[in-house]
Amino acid sequence: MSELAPPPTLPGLAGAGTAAPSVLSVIDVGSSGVRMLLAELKPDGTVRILEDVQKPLALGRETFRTGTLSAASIQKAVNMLRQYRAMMDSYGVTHTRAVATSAVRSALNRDTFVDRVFLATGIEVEVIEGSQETLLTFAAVQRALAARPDLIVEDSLMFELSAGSTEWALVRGGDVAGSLTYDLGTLRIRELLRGEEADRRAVTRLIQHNVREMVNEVKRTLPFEKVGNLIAIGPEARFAARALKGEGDLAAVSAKDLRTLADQIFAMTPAEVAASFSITSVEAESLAPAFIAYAELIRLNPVDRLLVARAGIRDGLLLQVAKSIQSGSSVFFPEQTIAAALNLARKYHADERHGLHTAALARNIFDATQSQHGMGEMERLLLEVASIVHDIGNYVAARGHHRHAYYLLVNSEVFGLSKMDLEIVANVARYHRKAGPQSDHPAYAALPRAARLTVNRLSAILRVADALDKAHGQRIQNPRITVEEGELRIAADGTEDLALERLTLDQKSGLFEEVFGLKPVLAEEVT
Amino acid sequence: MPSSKTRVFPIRCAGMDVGSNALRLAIAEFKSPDRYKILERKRVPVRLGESVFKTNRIAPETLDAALDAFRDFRRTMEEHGVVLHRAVATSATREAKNRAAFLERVHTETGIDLDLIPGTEEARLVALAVQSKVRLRGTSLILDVGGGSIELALVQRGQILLVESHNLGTVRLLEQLGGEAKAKGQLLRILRETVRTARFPLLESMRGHSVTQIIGTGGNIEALASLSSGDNGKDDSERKPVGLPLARLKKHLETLAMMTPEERAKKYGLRPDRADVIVPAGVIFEYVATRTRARQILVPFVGLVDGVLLDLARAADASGKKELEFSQTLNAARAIMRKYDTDPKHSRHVTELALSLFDQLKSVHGLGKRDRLLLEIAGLLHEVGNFISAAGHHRHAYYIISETPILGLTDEELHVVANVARYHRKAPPDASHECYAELPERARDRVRALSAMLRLADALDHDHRQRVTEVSAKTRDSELLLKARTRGDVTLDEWSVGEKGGDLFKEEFDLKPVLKTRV
Repeated sequence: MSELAPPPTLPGLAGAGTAAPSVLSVIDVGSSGVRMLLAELKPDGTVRILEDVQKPLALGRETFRTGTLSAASIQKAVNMLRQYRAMMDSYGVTHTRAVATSAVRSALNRDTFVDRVFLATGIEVEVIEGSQETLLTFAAVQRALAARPDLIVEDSLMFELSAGSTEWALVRGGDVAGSLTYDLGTLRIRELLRGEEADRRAVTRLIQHNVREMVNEVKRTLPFEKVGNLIAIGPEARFAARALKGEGDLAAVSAKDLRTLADQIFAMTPAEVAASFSITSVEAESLAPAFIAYAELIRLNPVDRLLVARAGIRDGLLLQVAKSIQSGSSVFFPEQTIAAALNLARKYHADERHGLHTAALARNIFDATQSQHGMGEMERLLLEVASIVHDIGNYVAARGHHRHAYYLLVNSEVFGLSKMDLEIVANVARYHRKAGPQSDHPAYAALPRAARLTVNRLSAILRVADALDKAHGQRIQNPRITVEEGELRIAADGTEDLALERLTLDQKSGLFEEVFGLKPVLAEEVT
Repeated sequence: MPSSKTRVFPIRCAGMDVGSNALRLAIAEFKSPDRYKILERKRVPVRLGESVFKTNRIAPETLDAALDAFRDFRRTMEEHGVVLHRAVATSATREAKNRAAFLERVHTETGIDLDLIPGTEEARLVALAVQSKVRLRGTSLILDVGGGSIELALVQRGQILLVESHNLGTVRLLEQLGGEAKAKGQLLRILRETVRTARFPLLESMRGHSVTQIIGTGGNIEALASLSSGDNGKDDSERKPVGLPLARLKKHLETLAMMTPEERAKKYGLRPDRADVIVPAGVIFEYVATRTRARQILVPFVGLVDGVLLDLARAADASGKKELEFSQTLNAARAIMRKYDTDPKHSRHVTELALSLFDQLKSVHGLGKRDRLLLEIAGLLHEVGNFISAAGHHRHAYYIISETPILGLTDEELHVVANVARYHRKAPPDASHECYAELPERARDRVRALSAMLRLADALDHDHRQRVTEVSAKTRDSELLLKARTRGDVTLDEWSVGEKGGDLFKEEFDLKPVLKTRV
C-alpha cells in the first residue's frame, strides 16, 4: 500500500539484533549502471562504509531509444545482482533496500525486470519516482550542508541531471522549500547534439533554449529569483570535481576552471575523453551535455563557483535504512512534505490558516480513532497534506472546486510523495465535499483496493475536520476527541456560538458514519 | 475600429448593484442613449451590511447567498441576450476585509467583474439616473440613503457641484443602536439625536446656496412616499415621480415608530428587510429636509442601478457597439491570462501574429469575425497551463479554460477556445481525444483551422523572445510563403516552423509554410 514501507529483511537471514551492529546494503539500478553500498550501522548510530561496488550498464540509453529493456540487458543486470547478492550473503547483511530509477521507470517492461531480479536473487527492487529520488539524494546532501554553516545562510539550488530528467530542489534555511522534476536530461541533450542539423550554432542555441525553459520553469515553481549556491549532484559533477581537484563532501569548483574543462571536453569525442580521463565511454558520453547545462545555468544565475556534492542516492538510501532501524519510522522527512504542501497551498491562494487548522483537527480525529482504522504514519501524513491543500481548487473556480483540486494535485509535485501517494491525496481532497467515493468515479475506481480503503477513511475524517472549521475562523481549538458509545465525541470549550459548525457537521458526517460506524457529535464543554 | 453610430442601438444592457441590503439587477433595451425600456428587474435581499458592519468581513453564508444571486443574474442576462453589463459594489463591500476574495469568486464563478466604486461615483450615477427622469431646476440636492452609506450630491444646471458620502446608512444605524428592541419607546428620539450629531460638511458648505429641491432616492424613501398610496414595495421606474411633503413624512415617522417591524410589515405590506430600516431612513431624510428648509422631498423612483444602465448606454454610444461587445469578452480573457500566465509578452505576441495570419489568409480559411475572436482568446490563453506545470501544459490549458466561464462566449465557443489552446503543441486534433471528439462537426472544423494558425504563430515565437516582429503571408502553388521581419537571430524560430509548426497547417489547408526572414 505505502511505497515507503520499512525495508524487508531478506528471506533466510537472521533478523537484526539490537546489540550487534547491523549490516546494511543499498542498491541503485540506475541509467548507467548497477551500484551497491555495503555499510555497518553501529549501535551508536554511526555508519561505516564497507564496500562500494559499481558495474556499468547503459540501461538509460536503451529505454530512451526503444522504450523497453532488452532481454540481453535484463540478463546482464540479473547477473550483476546475483554477484551483489553473493557479496551481501558473505557479509551477513541484515537490512537491505534496492531501488531502480528513471531508466527502469520509463521501460514498458519494468514489471518483468523487477520480477526476473526477484526470482533470480530474492532482491525486491522498488521502482521509485523522481520525487523520491530527490528526497533520498537530498537527505544525503542535506547531511553535508548541515555541516557547513557558511553555506546554509544563502539559498541553495541543488540539481541532478540524470539521463531522462533533471531533479531540482530549493534549499532555504536548511529546509527544502520546493522541488521539481523536469523532463530534460543528458540523453535528450545528447540526441540534440548529434542531430542532423549541421549548423552547430543552431544546435547550441536550441540546447540553451531548452535549458533556459527548464530554469524558467524551476524559478516559477520553486520559486526563487536568484540563489547563492548552485549544488550539482551526479557522476558528471563528481567527474568535474575530481578533474579539477575539488575536495570534500561539497567540493567547490570555480566557474572559470569549469569552462576551461568544458572546452576541452567539447573538443574531443567521447572515446577520446574516456581514454584521457580514465573513465568508461558510457560515462564520457554524458559529460558534454551536462557541461552545456551547467554553463547555461551559471549564465542564468551567476555564481563564481559550482558546489559538487559527493553524495548520491545510495547515501540517502543508507540514511533511510539506518533511520528506520533506529526509530522504527518509515516516513522520511515529513516536515519537508508538509512544507511542500504549504507551498502548493500558497501558490493557489488557499486559506493557509484554515488548511493548517483543518490538518490539526484531522490529526486529532485520526489519533482518537487509531484502534478503529489501524492506519500508519504514512497515511497520517497523507491526511495532513490533503487537509492543507483541499481548497486549492477554488483558484480555478469555486464551482466544482473539489474536482479542480483533484486535477491540480495529480498534475503537481509534492516533495516526498510518490505518484501513488499523490493520487491518494488528490482523491481525498476531491472527496472533501459533495458526493462521496463511489465505484463509477473513474479515478477512484482505478486505485488498488487498499488505496481505495485509505481514501474512504481519510476523506471521512477530512470532512469532519473541515466542518469543524466551517467559518474559517479557527473557532474550535484543541478539542478533546474521544470515541464513546458509538459516537465520536468532539468536546470544544463553549465560549463561542458553534451553531454553524454544528449544522455543517450534521451535513458532512454521513461518510464518517458510514466508514467508521461512529456518529460525530459536537459537545460544548462548560469551562 | 471604426463603426457607424447608428448601428450601436438598439442594444440590451444590464446594470447590477451590490448594496448593503440587497443585490439588484436591471435589464433594459436602449433605443437611444436616453430612451430605454426596462425588460426585467430583480432584487435579492442579502444583508452584506449586517456581517460587514459587525465583523468587517462578509460571512461565508452571506457570500454564498450573493453568489447564488449573481449566478441567477448571469442566467437572466443570457436569457435576454444582454450585450453590455456593469456591476458595481458600494459601501458594505468596500469595507469588507475579504472583499478581494469576494470579487475573485464572483469573477471566477460567473465571469462578472464587480466594480468597487467610491461614494462619489455612486452619487454621480444616481444623479445621472435622476436627471433622466425629472427636470432639475436651480440647485438640487440629491440624497440617496442606503444601508451602509448616504450620498449627497448638489447639482446645478446638470453639473454636479459637490458630492459627499457618509458612513451612516440605515443598517449601520440600526447596528449601532443594537437593534430596535433595545431602543423601545425612545426609538425616534435616539435616532434623531444620532443623526443630528453626525456631521454633514456638505450641508454646512451649502449655506451659500439655497436648495430649490430635494430629491430622494433609494428603496426606503420610495416606500415612505408610497405609504399613503398603498403601492408599497414595488420598485418600478415607470412610476411617475411623487412629491412627499415634509409634514406628511413626520407624521409617517411618528406612526411607524410606535409599531414593531412585524406590525409595519403587516399593515403596509412592507418586506421584512424594509420594515426595520424604513424608520432610520425616514429620520435621515427628515433631518436633511429640515436643515435645508425644503418643504417636500421629490421621489423619482430611480436608483443606482438605473444610473449604471444609462452610463453604459452612453459609453456604448461613444465608442461603438462592436468594440465594446468584444471588449468585455476580451477583458474577461485578459483577466484569466493575468491570473495564470507568467509570460504574457509571448502570449500577446503570438496572438498578434496569429491574427495577422488570420486576416491575410481570409481567402484560404473563409472564417468570420466570431472565429477571429475565438482565435484571439485562444492565443491569449494558450500558455495558462504552465501555471499548473510545464509538463502537459497544453492539456492543463484545456482544463482551465473549459472550467472558467467567459462572459460573452457560448458553451460551445468556450470549448472551441479550450481545444485550440490545447492543440497549440504536441499531438494534433484526433478523434481519440475526448475533448475534441465530443464537439459537433462544425466546431471540430473550426478547431482544426484555428489550431493550425495558432501553431504556426507559436512557432514564429518559439524562442519566446518576440524576434519575429511582423509576418506577411502569400500563397504560391502549394506553398505558403511567409516573409518575416525580424530583429536579431532567428535560427530557432526558422527551425521550429520547418520542423513541426507548419505540419497541421499543411494538413489542413494543403499549403506548406515556408519561412523567409529579413532583418
